[in-house]
Amino acid sequence: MLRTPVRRLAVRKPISLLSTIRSYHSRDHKIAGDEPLESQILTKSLEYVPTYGFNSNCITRTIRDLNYPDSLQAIISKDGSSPEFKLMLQWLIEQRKNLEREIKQPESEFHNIADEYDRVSYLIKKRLELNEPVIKHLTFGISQLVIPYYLSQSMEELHNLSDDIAFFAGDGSNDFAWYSKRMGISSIYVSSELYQLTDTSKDFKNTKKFVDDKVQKLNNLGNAYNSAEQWGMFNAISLVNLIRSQLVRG
Amino acid sequence: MLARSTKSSLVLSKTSALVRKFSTRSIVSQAASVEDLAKEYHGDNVNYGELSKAQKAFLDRVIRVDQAGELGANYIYMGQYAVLASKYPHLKPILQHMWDQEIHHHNTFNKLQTQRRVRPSIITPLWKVGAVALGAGTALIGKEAAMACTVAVETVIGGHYNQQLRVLMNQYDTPIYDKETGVKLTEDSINKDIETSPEIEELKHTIKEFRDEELEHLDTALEHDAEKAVPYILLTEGIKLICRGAIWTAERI
Repeated sequence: MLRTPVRRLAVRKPISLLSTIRSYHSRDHKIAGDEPLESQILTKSLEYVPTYGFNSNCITRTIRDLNYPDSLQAIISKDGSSPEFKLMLQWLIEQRKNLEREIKQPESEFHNIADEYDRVSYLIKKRLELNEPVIKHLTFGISQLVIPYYLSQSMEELHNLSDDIAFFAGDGSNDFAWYSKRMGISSIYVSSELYQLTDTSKDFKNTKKFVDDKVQKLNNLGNAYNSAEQWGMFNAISLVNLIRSQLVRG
Repeated sequence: MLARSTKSSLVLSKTSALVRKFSTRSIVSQAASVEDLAKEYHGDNVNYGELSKAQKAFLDRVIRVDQAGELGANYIYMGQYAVLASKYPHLKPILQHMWDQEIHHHNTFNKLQTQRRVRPSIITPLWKVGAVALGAGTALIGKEAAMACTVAVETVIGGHYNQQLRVLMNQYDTPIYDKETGVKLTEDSINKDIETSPEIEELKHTIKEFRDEELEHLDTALEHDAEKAVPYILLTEGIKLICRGAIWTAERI
């Protein structure tokens, strides 16, 4: 009987939207369950993406480079998804890790930013900078992500990114704000990325300004919510006191 | 190997006292020489193995449900305090003490939730409103009903913490590796200090401490006439049912 809880959890397949949000991060343990060969090939293929785009060519070349048989391509699409989508997803995952690596460097200017929202803005801009080498292939890549069959996986990766950004920015929210903040960051990221695709200004200056504006708006929204909550609490207490005083008077 | 020789020495001990004396002595000297060769392991020179997906999912649930539970407890006392503190001045310090402890519990799990990056329960606003209503509602019936509410809530929470502790004690023996060589440690070289990772150990310690404090609240409530509440059985069983439902929900969404 004591063993039921853990075992029961193991059998259940994650199906709901909530289960796709990343959970418990251990400090002292690693978590089991990565497929090394598949992601190894995909990660290596990403080196070809700036030249060939998000295309199965990259995978074919990598498999030949590594002297594996051509038939190995089958493991990439063994779950029924296309190699183009797999490549794009792997690229997103890799860039998310790159972002983490970048800000974990001790000399990064990220550590001098004190305000949480400034940090969010910095992180989104850094992440968009990582798009630059493949910017001309990105439209095709994004079109892969929004194919309905792949949408849940793309959304999961988007939420992973916004969760990372919120965490590294120092988010400490413990209630519903946890969700609204991540949703806000996700939507800012998507809209800024779409803006970036059409941006022709030098060094994507307009995109950066766009991000700053959007994050500022999110900050204002958060402040508005907190003020509204405070105002509601104040009114509730004064209503109770008003009723009390009326009761005392009889 | 050592275990086997101990067993055989036990068999010997039954046959002859003289032989037993002799053999234990030789085992002791053998064990000492092994220990001289073996490295002393403490927290710093070991690595802990992977957690399975199920183990991770359980920790995820533990943090989320405990955070929601402590939030509930915090707000229940808030509701009770708002109603009772001015009516019964003698209860004020008692309620304040229990409430302060709940605030500490709540803050601890809030911190854990942020550090371990667990998502909070999505219906947190509902838990807040429900908990204040439960605390204030029972307090409006009378101070005995409020204490009966405390009894019911703390009973369920105490039991639930115990259940979590059982799983954490039984199901989290991951393999342990030497940090330098990467070699898996054998049963013999694992001592009590390094048995489980500090992360799990701290969590267990926190839960144990909080469980004891919750059960202390239970005793306090019983001392303050909880059982004189009318109808006591109906109130406590009803609230217990609500709490179990809330736990079930908070673990999942």
